[in-house]
Amino acid sequence: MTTDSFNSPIDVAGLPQLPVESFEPLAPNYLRARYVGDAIFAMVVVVVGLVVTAVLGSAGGPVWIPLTVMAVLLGLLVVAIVLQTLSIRHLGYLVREHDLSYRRGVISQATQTIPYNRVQHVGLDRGPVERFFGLATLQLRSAGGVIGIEGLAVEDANRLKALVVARAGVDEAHDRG
Amino acid sequence: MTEAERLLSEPSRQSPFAVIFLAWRVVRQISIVNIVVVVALLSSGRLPISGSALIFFGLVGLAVAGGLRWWRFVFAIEDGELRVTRGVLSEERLAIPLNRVQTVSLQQGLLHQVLNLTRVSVDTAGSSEAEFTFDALERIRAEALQQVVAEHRAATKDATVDDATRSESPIGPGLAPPTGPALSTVPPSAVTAAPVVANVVARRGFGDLFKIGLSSWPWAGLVVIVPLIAALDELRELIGVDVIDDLSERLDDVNGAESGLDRSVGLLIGGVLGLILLVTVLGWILQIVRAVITNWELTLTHSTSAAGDTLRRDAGLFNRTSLVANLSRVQSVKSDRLPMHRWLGIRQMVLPITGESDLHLPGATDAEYEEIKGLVFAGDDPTLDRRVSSDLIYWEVRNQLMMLVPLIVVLAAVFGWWGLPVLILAIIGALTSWTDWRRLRWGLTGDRIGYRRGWVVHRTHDVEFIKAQTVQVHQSRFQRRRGLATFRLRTAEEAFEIPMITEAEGRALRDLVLHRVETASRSWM
Repeated sequence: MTTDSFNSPIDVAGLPQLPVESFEPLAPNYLRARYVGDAIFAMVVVVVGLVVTAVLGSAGGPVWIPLTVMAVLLGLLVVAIVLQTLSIRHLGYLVREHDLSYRRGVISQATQTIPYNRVQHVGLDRGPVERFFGLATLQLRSAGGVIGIEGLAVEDANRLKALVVARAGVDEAHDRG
Repeated sequence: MTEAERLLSEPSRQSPFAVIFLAWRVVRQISIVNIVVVVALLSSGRLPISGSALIFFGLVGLAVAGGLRWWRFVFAIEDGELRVTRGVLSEERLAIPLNRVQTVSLQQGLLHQVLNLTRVSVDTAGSSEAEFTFDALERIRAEALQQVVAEHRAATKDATVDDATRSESPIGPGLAPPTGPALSTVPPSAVTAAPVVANVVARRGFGDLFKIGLSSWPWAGLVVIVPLIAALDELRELIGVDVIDDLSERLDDVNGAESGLDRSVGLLIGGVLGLILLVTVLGWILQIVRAVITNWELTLTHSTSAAGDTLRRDAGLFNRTSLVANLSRVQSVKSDRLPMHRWLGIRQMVLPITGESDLHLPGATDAEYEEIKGLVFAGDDPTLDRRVSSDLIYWEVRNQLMMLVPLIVVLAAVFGWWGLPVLILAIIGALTSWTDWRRLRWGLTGDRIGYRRGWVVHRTHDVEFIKAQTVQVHQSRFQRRRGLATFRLRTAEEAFEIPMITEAEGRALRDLVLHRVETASRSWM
């Protein structure tokens, strides 16, 4: 049988609550970085779509297929850009003494919390666009999955990483980017 | 040094019979497909070598490869580490601290049983995959390895608790301990060998296995019956006789031509019902055979020793498996009861275990279920007296209709009014959602949370708060408008979820779980 039971009643109302209003917003240029990423994606879609259309057209094939796929992808991209713009107000993180929370979503909103004593690895990811804008993604890995906090200013990300490493007493994962 | 450690302290190799299994690994690496291609080329005479010579050289090559791999695989336990050297062309040296080893699983295939050997898989904390495998060890050495690992884990645990106690007293709770190693190990020789107290929690005889097979879904028979029908179809084409037409014609001859159509319809309905009956009976027979093969002599043993509380599951007719897991690594307790389970008074229990496959206990009685829950959890069961919002029904029915309406429109366009019977699916869905909501109850104590739900399959799930890795309060737009939320707790193995509770309940649950996780003195595994 498991030992160390502490099954005494506790006052749930008296527990420290997650202050919803105290979440820190992400870096101001995060949205711009997302737009640049979207623009690069749109350019790739258009270039590939036009090349495939030209090749098919010269061979007498059905050019409407690549044009339709291109239009659908660009339409989805427009929806994604709208959602990104709306979601920026809700994105945020909260650092407390014993845990870190991340809030995200527009249509469906979720607040995920990871206690430091469950963190197994901490790492920073920085893609080319993030590097250009001085941003980073903090990856907190537990045995039950990963929480990735995007759009942090690189100085904040490094400070957070150092804090989590010190609190959790864990290994630093190799940073990427 | 304990007897078990002494047995493994000298660098040694696996059993010489391991050559067979290592050679088989070589065959698998070459790929059986490639071997079949070579044999095909050989039979077509396109290879400049005779078949017998190729087989001879192939077998010699396999024996040499297997032998070299066996010779180069040397292992020993030294200084609290499992040290392995392996590799023929390039040498690989592994040194795994014993306190990082999560499980040592033993498995016996048919050949292993004949030779009295054991396949041993060693899992570590850094990976969910087996770190490495011993293909064939003598049973005594395999069990010694299990014992040494368990002793080291217990020693580490004791040392950690001692360190925590020492560091907390001078500086008070809530402050970081002084710098220094968080974990310190105690040599296994320092561990007092306490007597092992073993208690058989569950055992399955043939009658139990019969019940387990009988209470499973019988439709596995389809796997057999579908190819059977296809084969009959082929046969019919071969002999040029349509069985149903032939029977119908014979009946027409007997009863007169005017009743032929009615007879054919009757025959068709009878044939379908007969087929369903055949599939069901075949399915049950297969399930019983499966239960006997996989759960033969299933024994679940609870042991208490210096290494801590462990559960050990042994089972299998041809492929005998042995899973030993520390109780602290059990993440939750789940159970399913199909209608036949309820009729027979049994249930299917599952204990998800970190870094290891789930521990399944089919055919568990209520007494066994309660006993195992008592082993895994401390304290009383939560009273399941809380309900979720009835908006759950509306939400599920709405989602089902969103899927079904386009389907109905398409079917109505193609088949006219015959497309409407699909609405029956929506009615069944609504009934299922309503019954599920009526049965869904959840509750909590200061340390754990549980629920029961389900209409056809009755499910239960209990989790201790300290097993949480992350917690989440999720709200869709539908939930936000109604002040509702979904609470999710992720353990290292699975998610525990309660939908459609009030937002305030969701937040309070999150705060409670975080409080327990962040103040617990006990490790989550």
